[in-house]
Amino acid sequence: MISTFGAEAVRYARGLSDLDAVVTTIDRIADAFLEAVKRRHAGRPFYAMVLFDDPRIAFGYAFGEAILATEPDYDRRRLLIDQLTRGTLVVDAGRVDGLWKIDSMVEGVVTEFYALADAALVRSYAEAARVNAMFARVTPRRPLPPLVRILAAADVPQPVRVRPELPGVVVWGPHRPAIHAALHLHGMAEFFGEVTCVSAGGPLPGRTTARFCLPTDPVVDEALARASAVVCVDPSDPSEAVAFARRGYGVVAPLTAGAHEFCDVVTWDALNARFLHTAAAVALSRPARVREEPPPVPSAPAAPERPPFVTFEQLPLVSIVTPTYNRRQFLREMLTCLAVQTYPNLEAVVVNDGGEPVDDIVAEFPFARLIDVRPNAGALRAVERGIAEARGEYIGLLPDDDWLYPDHVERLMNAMFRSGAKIAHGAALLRFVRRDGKGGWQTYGFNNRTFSLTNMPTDALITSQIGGHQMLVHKSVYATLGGYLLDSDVSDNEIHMRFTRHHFYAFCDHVTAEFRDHAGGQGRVCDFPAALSEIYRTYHPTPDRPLLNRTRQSTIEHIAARPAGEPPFAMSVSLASSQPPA
Amino acid sequence: MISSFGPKASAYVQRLGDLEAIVTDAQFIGQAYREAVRRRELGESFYGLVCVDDRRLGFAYAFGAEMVAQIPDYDARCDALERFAAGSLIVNGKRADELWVSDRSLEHVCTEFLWLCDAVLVRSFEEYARVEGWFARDPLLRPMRPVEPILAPSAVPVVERVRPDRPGLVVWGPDWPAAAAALPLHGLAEFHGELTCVTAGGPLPSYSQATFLTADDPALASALGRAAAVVCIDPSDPSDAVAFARQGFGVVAPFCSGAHEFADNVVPCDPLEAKQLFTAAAVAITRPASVRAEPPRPPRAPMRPERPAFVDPQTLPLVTIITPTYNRRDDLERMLSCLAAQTYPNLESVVVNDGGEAVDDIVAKFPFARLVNKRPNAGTARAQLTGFEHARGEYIGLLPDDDWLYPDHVDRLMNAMFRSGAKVVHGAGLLRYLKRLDTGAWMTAGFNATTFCQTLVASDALVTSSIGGHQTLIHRSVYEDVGWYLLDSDISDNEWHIRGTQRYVYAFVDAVTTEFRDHAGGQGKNLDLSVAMRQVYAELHPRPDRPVLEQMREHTAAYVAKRVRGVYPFPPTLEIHF
Repeated sequence: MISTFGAEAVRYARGLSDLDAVVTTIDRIADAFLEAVKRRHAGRPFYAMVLFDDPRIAFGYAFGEAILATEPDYDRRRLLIDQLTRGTLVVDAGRVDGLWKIDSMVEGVVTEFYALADAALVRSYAEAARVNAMFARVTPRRPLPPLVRILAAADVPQPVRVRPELPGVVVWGPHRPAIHAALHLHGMAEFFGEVTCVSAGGPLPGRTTARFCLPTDPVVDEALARASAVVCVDPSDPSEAVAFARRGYGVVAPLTAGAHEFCDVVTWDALNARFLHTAAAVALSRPARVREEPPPVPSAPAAPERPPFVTFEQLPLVSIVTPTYNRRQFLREMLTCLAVQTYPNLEAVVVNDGGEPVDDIVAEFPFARLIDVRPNAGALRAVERGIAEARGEYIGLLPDDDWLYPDHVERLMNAMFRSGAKIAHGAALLRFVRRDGKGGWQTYGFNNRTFSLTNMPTDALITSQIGGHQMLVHKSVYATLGGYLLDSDVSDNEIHMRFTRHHFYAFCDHVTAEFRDHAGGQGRVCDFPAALSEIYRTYHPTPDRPLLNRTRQSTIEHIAARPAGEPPFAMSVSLASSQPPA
Repeated sequence: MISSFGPKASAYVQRLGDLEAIVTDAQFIGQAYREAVRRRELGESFYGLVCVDDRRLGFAYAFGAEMVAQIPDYDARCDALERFAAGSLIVNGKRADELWVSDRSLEHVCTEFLWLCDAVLVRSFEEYARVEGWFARDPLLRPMRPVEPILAPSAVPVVERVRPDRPGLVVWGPDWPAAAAALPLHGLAEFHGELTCVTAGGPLPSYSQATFLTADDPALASALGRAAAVVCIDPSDPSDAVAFARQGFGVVAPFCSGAHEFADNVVPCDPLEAKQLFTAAAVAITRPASVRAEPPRPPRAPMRPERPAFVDPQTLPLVTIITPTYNRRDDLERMLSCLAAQTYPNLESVVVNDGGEAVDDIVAKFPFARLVNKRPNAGTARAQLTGFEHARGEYIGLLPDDDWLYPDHVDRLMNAMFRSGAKVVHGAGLLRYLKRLDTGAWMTAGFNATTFCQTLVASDALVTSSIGGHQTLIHRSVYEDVGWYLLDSDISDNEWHIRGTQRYVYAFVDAVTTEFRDHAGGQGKNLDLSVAMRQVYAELHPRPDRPVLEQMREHTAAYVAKRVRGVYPFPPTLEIHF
């Protein structure tokens, strides 16, 4: 099923056959994000697609008419466009190329949205390059999601074509306001033939002899019947250009649309209006042959399968260890997460850390065992006890208030089989929840960035952001390298210092777990700087690495400077205003 | 047939199979260019492929080992190479990103080479973007060529894969010296597992735990068999990455190689970003890449636009080519041979002997040619007019006796006319410089495929134009409408286009179909054209309403006046020394 957010997404998705996908425009990205989390949570693979235009061209389309209108002299207008093309034009006291950036906050959310999905749909490899550049700007370490190129079906008129008597060009932008074609029409000002501009209407660009019409106008068919070439306006969607190419038209399309990947169009940069005349003069006589149809896109992204050298009967037992203390409601939710895991050979070891009894809850889940510990001695000791009691070959941890998605264990185990690694981890979504005033909890934000990277040993020597429940660890690792420090506030950082020194973590780059922040910040009330210093000094001193020690020092200072009570990891998507309580 | 120039190109074409193509390393572009001209003259259809790596990666692979060796402290190395990846590291007093800038003049020769080809082959659309960048940087307004992606078969070993008991990675660069792998290996310095690096050999990069092999080492099969992922380092050729994807390996490949266009679940990365590469490897060992469907193979030779269906082949209109000649019997015969080889079937030639020695015997050899003898010698423009008066064709072309048309010229231009409804159409002209040897023979001394390779907008024509008469075909009604060339101007071509462009769109066949042959050491060597230009500007086409345009005219006339006599006004792009 395709979920669409935003009018352009709704229109575009009409050209797609049935797919498991979330398609959104940038202005609706928060809603799309929520839908993506919902699907992730249900363990349903899906594609993500964000419809956005190259910001340089978007700017040119939006303001081209206004820029042209400032200059009454035709020759000076031509020079103006040269400056616009190069980005040197000064608008509002700033160079215009300073204005055609996407807001970096928005880019951050877009990359986090893509990273929630199993794969990203792109309309062309030119779009893939834009997405790649965005990831490089925002989170250079985070790999791109798998990229799958899709070509939507497009519905363009099919008039019977006649032998033209004079050169005819149709400027085709039926989904955009007429003024978006202002630069095109400027570029065609000296084209002495028939120029017809098809747009969604609105105020018309000035200073042109072109004829304007809406896509529904009957003259569109007549103009297309006589035309030799079509100039496609859309800067990102190649589908209509390809549809015209199939009808044997010469086609001019912006380079950013990637239509050249599917057929032999004449590309132009979409701002350099002077170039458009040349492009059109070439396209008049060069029908845009369509290469073979690209293969259809599978209806849902496929997760990696279990490798053939592991049979079902051989699947090792996985133990998930959960310390719990007086959170009966959360415990049931957590055990339900385990009950829906698709991996078939799983046990839960629940360690009741001196809290109220939970025997009745654990009894509901046949794969779960309960260990009662009294008196309360802290989560780390409970975890140690649980690991000791675990029967599984692989061990995972799961605090009673966090969640695993249904494919978590299976994906991590497959990663382990494939790679031979003894430690695997996935990415975790940080969900901010708060009381809704009616006894329930309400989600008010997300962050899909902080817990979504793997650790290099050098990085781990400073600090780590891989939570215990993101990982599965072969029990031999605990046996040889030891478990968590029992009396440190940063024992989850410390353990990575040891583990990364001996093991390469396989990273399943996929959100399979959730941190649920109930407290308005992951930070427990404790003295992190002191705890970190102690670890650095006592357990993992690095006297031979002066640069590393400097980074350690500045990290401690940075943490110490954090205002108390603020979430250490900021929200990327805030639902506070836009969403009713869930 | 594939012609290849340079070691990389030659190795690559071994795998390509049969195609009409010229494949070259950028450094060998001069030879490839001449081969392209040769094929063009024969009217052949062929692809061009220039093997060129991303500048940044090319630089890093060449000098990475040296940089790594200079920084023994690991943390300092990480820091420096991080800045190198961002381009901000200072190397020999310069920012790194100033060192990997492209060589514009080499790029321009490459661009002209591709203009000579019918279509461009690219190994990926990432490569298309690189090549398109050359065209975009050029000040000329000429579009990129038609493009066909091609995926070469690859010869990577097929191995029996076993269940790994610890993470294994193979860094794959069998065509590169071992030193080229230095920076990718730096990114994997903290990888704990089995690390094998396959290269062509040579001095090894320092500070790496990897085991180095060459591709023919018997130990390779077992290393690959145990490996979960392969890190391909080639910056431009995706074929090995795709072949590993087909075997179900996890694959890391540079984004600029475009491997992600052919295989699903490849982890694209920037091999200079050490942390990104480390992360990509951690992902790839868990994620098998796969190939969804083979991309279609491009046709054996580039396809030309066919005659449109609405044109009846029985009624193709007659085209007249007018040639004034004056005492150049050899050239005239060569020119008429060009016309004889035209593939367009309905053609006549009107040769106007402008008061020179007799050429009746030559013209008689060509049944499609008629001779008009005119006396006394009265200049080219008048001779052309005489030719026009004798022309029977519906479409008219002009051809000086010493210039050439390629065999597909008339056919391509007429098809363009049919398709577009245009009444004026032109192709691109290659400028060939000839020098006379002491023996009296003419030798090619250089080429330029830029100057006469652009179309014309009315505003530009008001200043100057560079479309030669023999590049165009024009419907006779256009001459009837706007008139003939000035008979006594040195820039009658330019002047006519001022009139022509104000009423007609020129359809542009973006292919080299003609040749200007410069025997004189520069077109218009001994003329001061600025006088003629100013006369045309002021007396025939004054535009007081367009002050900016008048300024450009003045600049242009002043520039032309300053030209040194006897020096090529349009410099050769490619000079041939002999």
